[in-house]
Amino acid sequence: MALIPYTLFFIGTFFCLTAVTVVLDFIQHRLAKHHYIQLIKENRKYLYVYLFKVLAEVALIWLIVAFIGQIWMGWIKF
Amino acid sequence: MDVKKIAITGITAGLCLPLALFAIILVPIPGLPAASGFWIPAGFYFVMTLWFGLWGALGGHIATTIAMGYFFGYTLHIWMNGGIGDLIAPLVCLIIFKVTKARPDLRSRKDIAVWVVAVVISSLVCGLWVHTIHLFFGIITWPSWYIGVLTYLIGDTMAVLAVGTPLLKSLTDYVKQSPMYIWK
Repeated sequence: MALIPYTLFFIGTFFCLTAVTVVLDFIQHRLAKHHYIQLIKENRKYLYVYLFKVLAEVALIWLIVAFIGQIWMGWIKF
Repeated sequence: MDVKKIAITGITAGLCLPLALFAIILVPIPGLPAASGFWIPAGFYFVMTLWFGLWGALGGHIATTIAMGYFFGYTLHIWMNGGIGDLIAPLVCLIIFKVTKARPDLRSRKDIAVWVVAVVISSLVCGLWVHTIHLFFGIITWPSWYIGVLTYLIGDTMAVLAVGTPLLKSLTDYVKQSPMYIWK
């Protein structure tokens, strides 16, 4: 544990779990796609919730990439 | 005023704001105020504009203006110029789609070809607008003008194609069910 600074360890764990959650969410959606399509037909609000959730997830992935990029470039140090 | 349209603008702006901030921080271009070599928020507001028209573009405009202005402390000229450039770009893309009768679901080869060409032209128009205005107002010099236009052309095009293409291909079928989808 002493080899990894605590802040990096905590943020890294958080990012890993976030990435895993996003991937699992995509898999879940693919597996139950026809249910979601039915749900959207029944309640249109779900369409917007789903749409903005996916956009936010893509943005999250990018922010994780950006964070790693900033560590790589030496702009963020632990 | 339709609340849903304002919500589209608000959510687009909310998503694009942190992305704009970190795009400027992560890939800055020395000598060019508020420029980024990989303008990731464009991938989002281009897509939102193709789905929802002006309301998506307005979200990108607001995000860019706030990101450049408030957080980086630039002058009002730089806030507004960058923001207007990012309002024009997705609208140019939308106009090209309308003129060529292409569809944002990118099903046919024609749609994909129009998408690629429209993104390149839109990014070029944005780069020309922003840096020519900067040049006229004495913010940048001639060598920076070339670099700026080239940076916007490459940086915006790469980001929009990398992020926008999968979003359009995977989500447009869902968005078609929205009454706000502009291609019915």
